[in-house]
Amino acid sequence: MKSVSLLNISKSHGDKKILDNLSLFIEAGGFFVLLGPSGCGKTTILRIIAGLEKPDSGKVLLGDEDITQQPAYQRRVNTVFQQQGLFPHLTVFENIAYGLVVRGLPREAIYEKVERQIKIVNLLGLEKKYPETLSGGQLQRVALARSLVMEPDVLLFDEPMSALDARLKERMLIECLNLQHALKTTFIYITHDRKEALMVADEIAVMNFDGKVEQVAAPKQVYLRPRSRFVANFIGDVNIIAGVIKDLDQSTASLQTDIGNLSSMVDATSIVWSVGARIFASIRPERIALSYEELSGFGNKLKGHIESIIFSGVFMRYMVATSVGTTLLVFEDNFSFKVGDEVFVHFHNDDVIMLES
Amino acid sequence: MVQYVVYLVKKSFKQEFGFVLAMPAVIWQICFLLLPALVLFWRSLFTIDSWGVTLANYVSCTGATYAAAIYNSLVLAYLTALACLLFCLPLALVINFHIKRELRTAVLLFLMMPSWTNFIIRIYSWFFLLRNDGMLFRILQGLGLLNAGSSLLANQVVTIVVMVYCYFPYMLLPIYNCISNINPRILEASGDLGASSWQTFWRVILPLSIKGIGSGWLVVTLVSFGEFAVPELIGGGKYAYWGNLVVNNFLLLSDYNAGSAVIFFGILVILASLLLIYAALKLLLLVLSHFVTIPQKLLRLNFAD
Repeated sequence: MKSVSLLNISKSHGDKKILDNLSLFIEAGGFFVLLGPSGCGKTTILRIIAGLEKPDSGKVLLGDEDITQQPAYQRRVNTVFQQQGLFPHLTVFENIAYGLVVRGLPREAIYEKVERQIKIVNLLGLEKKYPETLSGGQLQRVALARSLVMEPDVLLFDEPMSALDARLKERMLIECLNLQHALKTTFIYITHDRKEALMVADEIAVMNFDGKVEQVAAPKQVYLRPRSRFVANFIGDVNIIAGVIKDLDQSTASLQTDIGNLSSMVDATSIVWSVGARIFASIRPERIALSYEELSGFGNKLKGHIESIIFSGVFMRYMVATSVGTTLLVFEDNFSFKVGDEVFVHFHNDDVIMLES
Repeated sequence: MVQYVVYLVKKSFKQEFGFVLAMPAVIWQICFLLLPALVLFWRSLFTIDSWGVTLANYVSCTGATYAAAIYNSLVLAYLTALACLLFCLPLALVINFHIKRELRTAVLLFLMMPSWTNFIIRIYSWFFLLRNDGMLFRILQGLGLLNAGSSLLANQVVTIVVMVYCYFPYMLLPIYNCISNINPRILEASGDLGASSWQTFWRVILPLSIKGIGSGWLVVTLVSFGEFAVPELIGGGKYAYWGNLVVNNFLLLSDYNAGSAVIFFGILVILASLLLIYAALKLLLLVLSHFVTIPQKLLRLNFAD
């Protein structure tokens, strides 16, 4: 296991600037997820780490070693491609053995390693099958085994689960996660699916449409303490409300917003705020409590009425029109509210996140 | 019999229409390939001056002159196929991997364009290009690359060059077809797993184009085995070929019986030689597999599947 550092990487395809002066440090032995919308340049980052593309400028370090100029086949970095990456003319066994064969290992060593890997990824009995006869999940396991058998310092995943159905995807993700915990290889996983990212990551880097990294943090941090509107929106459903800072002390900020006066906890690690600054307040819909009576213990209380209801399994999605007029999205596991009901809306100070406008 | 055919046709109408759609082609093949071939085969069993069934025509095919001609044709066929392969494999790779997608069809079209011209005209153009007062000859002479006494015509190398010129599309198209179907991502995967370009070529590109190479090889050997115009005009006509034997028997000697025997004997020889090569290749791969790892699929090498 080794860390990966990207230093001031820039890359253009023709006239189109994909990455501009991007720097990123990926810790050794962790499960790192690059999360971003399609076309944000995350695949390009992966291909630069793999050596399949060269950056126009900047450096790639593997551990302390500068590998910017190394061709792909010399790097101890392997990639799990999307499904199409398997060799159609080779059996499952031969696919997994491929890297070891070209490396010129003795036959006994190849057999031993491949057989062990086949057991690890649960492909016993399929050794002689060809890829075209396998299911999506099996193909994914072969692709994983083919890379893992190389015992790479860093294993890259190029949206490997995007073709799998939701349930299988979840199972494969958990398998991946267990493998990572067992092997301690550095995993770098790219995806546009925030659920995947939140599930597996030790650390998530959220990229925006312009190929800029907006936040790098643990999943919980990214989810609960987003640093920008983009991150707040991309990582989950969120209410974003425009406002102004009216008053400020060490721990609390008073805000005047489109839904009334709110108070927000001031995060010591976040940006330094000043009174009068225009901000956006972000509130996660599941952090909001609804009730017919006023509840105590919440820093923020508003009045409103239920505007519309959507059933979605674990919780109800309520649209609540506040007395001022702006509507809030609320996830609530109390299913009893009806359209038109007058309700109280409550949330804690530390669930109100101030974002720069 | 007639009832059975009627039954078959009715059944096929019920079951699948495909059989009926194929009928024109099948009838064509029967009338203009199978029946004439049977007639020729029948005639090959008689000599011109007796009415008893005999293998005398075939025995005379093994005579020194005939055997030499058939041997020449074999050599010509395999040299042409080999040269075509050496020319077309890199060409297909370059077209597929180094030429922009939008331009590929145009390049292929450009390469195929000469084939729209009549075969004999193309060979004559080469003849005029290469002969001693031809353009190419004069250019090379002007550059001081050729002596006054030398000639560009009448040698084996030029014969093969023109043969390749005539027949390479049959090799290029099936190979290109295979290569263009290779997903570029698996080539990246190969590099990612540590394979150099050469290793990727041997272990991925070549196995995935083996079917194209096989069918290209088959077609080129078969068509060039019957070729005699190119060695006649370009090669100086110093040697006789299988095609010459056929033409001589049919057109000069009017001995259709002996000519038929020559045809079937030649076909037998070329098919037997192809089978022999196929078996030898398989054996070679089997032996090799004890020393290097060779994909299962290549060990069960089967050009047809």
